Amino acid sequence: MGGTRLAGVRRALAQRSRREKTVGLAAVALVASAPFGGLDRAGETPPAALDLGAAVAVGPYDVTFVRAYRAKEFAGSQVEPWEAPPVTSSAEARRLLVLEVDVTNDGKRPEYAHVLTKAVALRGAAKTDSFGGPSADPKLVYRTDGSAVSTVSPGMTHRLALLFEQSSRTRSPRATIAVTRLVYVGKGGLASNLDEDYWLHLDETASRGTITVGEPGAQG
Amino acid sequence: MSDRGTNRRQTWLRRNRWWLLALPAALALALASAAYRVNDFWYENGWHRELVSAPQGRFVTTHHTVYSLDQKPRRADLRMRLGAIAASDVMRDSLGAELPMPPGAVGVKLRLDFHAVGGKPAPYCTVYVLDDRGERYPVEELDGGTNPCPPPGGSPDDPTAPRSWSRSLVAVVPKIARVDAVRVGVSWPDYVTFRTSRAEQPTPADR
Amino acid sequence: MRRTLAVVAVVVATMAIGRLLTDHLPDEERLAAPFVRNGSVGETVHLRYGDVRVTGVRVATRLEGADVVVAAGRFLVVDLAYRAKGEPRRFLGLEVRDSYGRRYDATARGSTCPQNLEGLTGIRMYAMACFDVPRSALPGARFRFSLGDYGVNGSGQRRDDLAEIDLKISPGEAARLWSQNLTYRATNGTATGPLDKEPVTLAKPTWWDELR
Repeated sequence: MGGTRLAGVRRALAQRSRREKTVGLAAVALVASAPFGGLDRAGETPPAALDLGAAVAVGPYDVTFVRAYRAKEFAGSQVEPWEAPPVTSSAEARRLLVLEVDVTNDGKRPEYAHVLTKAVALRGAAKTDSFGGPSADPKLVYRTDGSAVSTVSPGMTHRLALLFEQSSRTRSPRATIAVTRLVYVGKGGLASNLDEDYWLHLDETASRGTITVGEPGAQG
Repeated sequence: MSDRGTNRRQTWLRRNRWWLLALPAALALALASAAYRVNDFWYENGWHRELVSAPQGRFVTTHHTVYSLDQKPRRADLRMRLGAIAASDVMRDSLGAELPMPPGAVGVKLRLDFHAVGGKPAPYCTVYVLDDRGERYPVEELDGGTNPCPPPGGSPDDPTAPRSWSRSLVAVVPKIARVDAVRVGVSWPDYVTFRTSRAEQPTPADR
Repeated sequence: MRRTLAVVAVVVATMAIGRLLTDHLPDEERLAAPFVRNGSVGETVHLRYGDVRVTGVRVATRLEGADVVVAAGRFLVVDLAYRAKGEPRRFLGLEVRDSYGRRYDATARGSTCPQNLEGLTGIRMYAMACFDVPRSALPGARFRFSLGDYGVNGSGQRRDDLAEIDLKISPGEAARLWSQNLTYRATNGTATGPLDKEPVTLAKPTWWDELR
């Protein structure tokens, strides 16, 4: 009984071409791998861990997160505080989360600040009005004088601060930040448009980490 | 063999003679079909067409096309003359305060006289001074308002516009420049040239 | 047979000529390259649309404009005299190139120095352009001045004149300039006379301490 059934399968197989046999074998192997994750969606590279003190590549920049603290306002100029007004949050019920960063541009040209501000996100950051509509992107300023950064010169380290806004009720001693993956679009650009020679923000997290939120006074 | 060769060459030339003749014409057509770029990107993007050239003191009437915010073309008429031209050592800002003249420069004060055409005041315009080397100098001082052609402080659509009015403007030119002409344009590429009289050349004492 | 050989020869020759043309004719990038007019400090460089002269070079740690800004490296301040030719112009290209080929744009921080310059026809005008640069950028730095901006890959400067002025900073001079700790007052615009080039001392107003 069993012997005849096996013989039927053998006869049916003999009638198939070699190509059909190969495809069939591949299909069987795929189904067999299903319990071990063979049919799962291909995963993205898991985000790398991110912490204070370690350097992270953000597109053209090497970024070191120095320290973080919450404040009602960013003191602005340490040089001439009587001249530079402090940077405050856009609403009374908000606080600033100041994320101090050391940013190095190792390229050959100035890079735009928004390449960095668009790439670094704080979980729970409040949205503020900007030219493109409400956005949770931080402001980028120089730590020494509070002046806004529009482009970052190459060849040196800039001591900057990312200013996020948060609800004043947020009091957690920790904050989660995530960095977007960027790719350089070179000559010829992408198929979808003609722009070239710029950094494109992918919809993918390159690194993520929870950092300690310290006191404003402590120097990082 | 050689006979056949020459025969074939002749027949090829004969067979294709019309196409060969058409080649230069095709080239000319190809160039002409791309020539719109000269018009669109250059000719209509600057002051390139002189409507009329008049001596100082003579009134001329010109017709222009202006585009309002809805992008619809509208006709506008301009009747004006270059009334007078003189050197000036002072320049004033919009509040009437005296501004220092840059070193090596002198003011050229122009008086432009206008008449309303068909009860309508003059359209907004651009005025610049031209020297004998073709250098253009913009108007730096206006006697009120933001534009040198409509009545002072008025607009081209003002229904209560006067029948005639005069404007006074100052351009800043280097002392070595010899002012040759004043050009008035309403919209690219059309302009009107007013030639200055030699007798009325601005001749400051320290030239 | 002979005919076939002739056809083969013609095809091969045509391909060879095509290859020669693509290899040896200047490519689009070179055809579009700006016409670089070289000069050095103190020399007037004449361009299609005007002329420019670097009258001096200063280096500052701080600039005092509407606010005071502190350089990440040092501010390389290029003092210049320039003049527009033909018609009034706005000069959009102010940049510094260093000996490593790096490009620096005029700083936009704190309303200090201009990013572009307005020129009245035929009138000499004065301005300062400021660049935040690292120490390695100082020796051999060159200043670039043009009507168009750099844009994307020099898009604004293509097929046009461009002045490239050697700032004549030797390695020794670079060390001296870097070591001084000076603040200069910034002029965010243009002037019809030479600018004040003396360093300033930042003074704390008396009311500041009373307020605190």
